[in-house]
Amino acid sequence: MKRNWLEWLILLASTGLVIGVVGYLLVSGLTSRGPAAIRTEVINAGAADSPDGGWLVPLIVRNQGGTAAGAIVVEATAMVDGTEEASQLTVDLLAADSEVELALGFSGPPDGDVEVRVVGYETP
Amino acid sequence: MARQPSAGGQGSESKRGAARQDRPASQDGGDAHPISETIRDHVRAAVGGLLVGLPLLWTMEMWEHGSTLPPLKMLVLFGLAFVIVVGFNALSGFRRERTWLELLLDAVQGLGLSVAVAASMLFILGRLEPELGLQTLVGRVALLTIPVAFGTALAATVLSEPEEGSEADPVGPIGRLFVAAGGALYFALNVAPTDEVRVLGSEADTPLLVAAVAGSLAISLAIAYLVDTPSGSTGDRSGGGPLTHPAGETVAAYAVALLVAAILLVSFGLNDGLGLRALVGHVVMLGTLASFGSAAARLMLGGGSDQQEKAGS
Repeated sequence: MKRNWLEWLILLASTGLVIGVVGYLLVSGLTSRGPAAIRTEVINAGAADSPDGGWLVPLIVRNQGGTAAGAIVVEATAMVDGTEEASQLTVDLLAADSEVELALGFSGPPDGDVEVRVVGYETP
Repeated sequence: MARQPSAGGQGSESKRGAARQDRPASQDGGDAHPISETIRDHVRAAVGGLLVGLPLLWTMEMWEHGSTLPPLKMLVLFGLAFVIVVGFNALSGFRRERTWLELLLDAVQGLGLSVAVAASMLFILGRLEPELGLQTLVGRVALLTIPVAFGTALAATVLSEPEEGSEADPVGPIGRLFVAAGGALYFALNVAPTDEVRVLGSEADTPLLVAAVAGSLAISLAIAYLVDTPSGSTGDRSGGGPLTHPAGETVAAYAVALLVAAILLVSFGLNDGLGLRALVGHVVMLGTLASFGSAAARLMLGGGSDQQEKAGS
């Protein structure tokens, strides 16, 4: 039997989807950008507070590399009332080209800048 | 899928040609598939895809592997699934007037539908958030398309009604191994991404591995004998080659199952850092499931052929 117009339409859309998936995988596989590259960015630290009286610092963790990273330990340090405080959080998995938003807590508003560093990560 | 590709097996190409010659050219323009039937076929295929794919669509390890698998490994799995789906369609379809080009187009159509079904379900589950990045989005859809595509292929072959006057082609030994590979891939894919494979593969000692091999071969042999009985399917046993004997088919099907298990282990990166002994343990333990899948698929092929025979008589 001949294909009707609906089958042609579905075939056209299907071909587009399959070519899109295969094409993307092929191109991204052949143009690998190397290992994971984790970057952090504090977003609007002064505007965040915690309901229990503490202070939350929101930040974004990005993976700008070509492969995923797991167990990413992110640590933020800041001076709070003259004492240095550190706060740590672990991101289970961060795929290539993706980002996640975190909030790290302190006992009060930081006196100055918040320093954020990536302690380490594993390659899954 | 919308249309059933022709049955394959030995000598099917000549039958396709004969079927095409028998069809008058004047009818080519006026016998298009009814729209209602097209819709019904695609709904059936989508439901079949969900039926088979949903458990894996709900599996966290699959989402994670969709994020972490290298694109080229993903492409290999995607391609392997496509080849097996084409083979499934070629071997177990009812309609006989498909050319190989039409068979490929049908498979692309089924795969495209599977991509849409997998993407829709992942979106509904909240697993396709934009901040995940394009690589993860495409990776998850590509990986989860594989089980859905098996479901759409099965729906097109097992759930659909046979056409009037259709007959079953006997499936040759190579075709049966192809089906065995499909069953092995589907069953093993269900657990390959989980931690259980690592635990079982690492902890199994030699006597347990020997028992696993013996058990796998016993199940496979039982299926081969079951299909070979007179009341069983139309499996083609007349060729006289080593693969037409149940013992030969058993060994070959088990080898295929082990190969599928090894491919999955490498694809999911589970072989990284493993010594040879541990690697063999992983392959054998995953192979138990793969061999059962291959046996189940061969058994189902027998059942499907029976239905076709009944429909044709």
